[in-house]
Amino acid sequence: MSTRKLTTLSMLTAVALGIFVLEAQVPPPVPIPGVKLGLANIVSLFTLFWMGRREAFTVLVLRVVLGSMFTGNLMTMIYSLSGGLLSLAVVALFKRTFSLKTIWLASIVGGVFHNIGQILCAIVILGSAAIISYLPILLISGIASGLFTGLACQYLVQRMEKSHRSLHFD
Amino acid sequence: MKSTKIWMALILAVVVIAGAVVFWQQQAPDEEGGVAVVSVDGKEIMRLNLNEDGEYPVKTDGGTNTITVKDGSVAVSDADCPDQVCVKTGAISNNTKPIVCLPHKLVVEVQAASSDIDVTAQ
Repeated sequence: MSTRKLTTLSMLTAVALGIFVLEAQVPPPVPIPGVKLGLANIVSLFTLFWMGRREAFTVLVLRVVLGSMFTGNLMTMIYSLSGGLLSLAVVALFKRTFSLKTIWLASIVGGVFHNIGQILCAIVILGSAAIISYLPILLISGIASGLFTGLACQYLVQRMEKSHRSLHFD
Repeated sequence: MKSTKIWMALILAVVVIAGAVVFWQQQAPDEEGGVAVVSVDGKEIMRLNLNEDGEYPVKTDGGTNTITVKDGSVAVSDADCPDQVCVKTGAISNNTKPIVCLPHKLVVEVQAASSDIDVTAQ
């Protein structure tokens, strides 16, 4: 791995970690288990589109593992990993169907699968399928937060395109 | 682009279907004479008759939740979990949505009373 790449990945992980830890301090906006903005996903998405699949998975796993250590919650790690990995896997799988202009769309798909992953994880942890009733509202909240983080990521990519001509997209 | 349109159609379908289900959940009537089933870590620990008001503290590995039955509905009135989502969920009186406390692995759901079960706290 080149020094440049290593530095970039470290920096992206640090940014994601900072956002993740900050957001963990904010109380849940609505009394529905699992609803949050997921601002750190801006970085996962950015890494996926700006660098590639492997890099995005690396940054995601590092951020979640380190972030859970900082917030001191093992459960956070299990929920964040199950949501984050499923979400990234689906978006990465269909990456070719998105362009740099439709990152917001990729992000919505990611938001939906993030919440599906988390609810599946919660069913296993709680040992009760009753929480499946929260799936509809979590699908809608995943779409809303996915749109928000996706637009944020898209503005970021547009800025990066202007300043970095070496933007590559595999 | 074609794939963009397909994604947009799929997302729209999810919004419409999920929205309809959420609307139906909000409109659902109360479960008359139902029971509240409290489970921790997937194991049922008590059944409470919704017609008998009362307060029941539940100790879990993570901490304590106080379950309150009042006027045919059940709520988590107090909890020492960090996010307080279970308390803010408020009272439920039908089976469209359970109360969930993720940190304590506690679930409270309302079920229709079946005649052969004696509804008392165990």
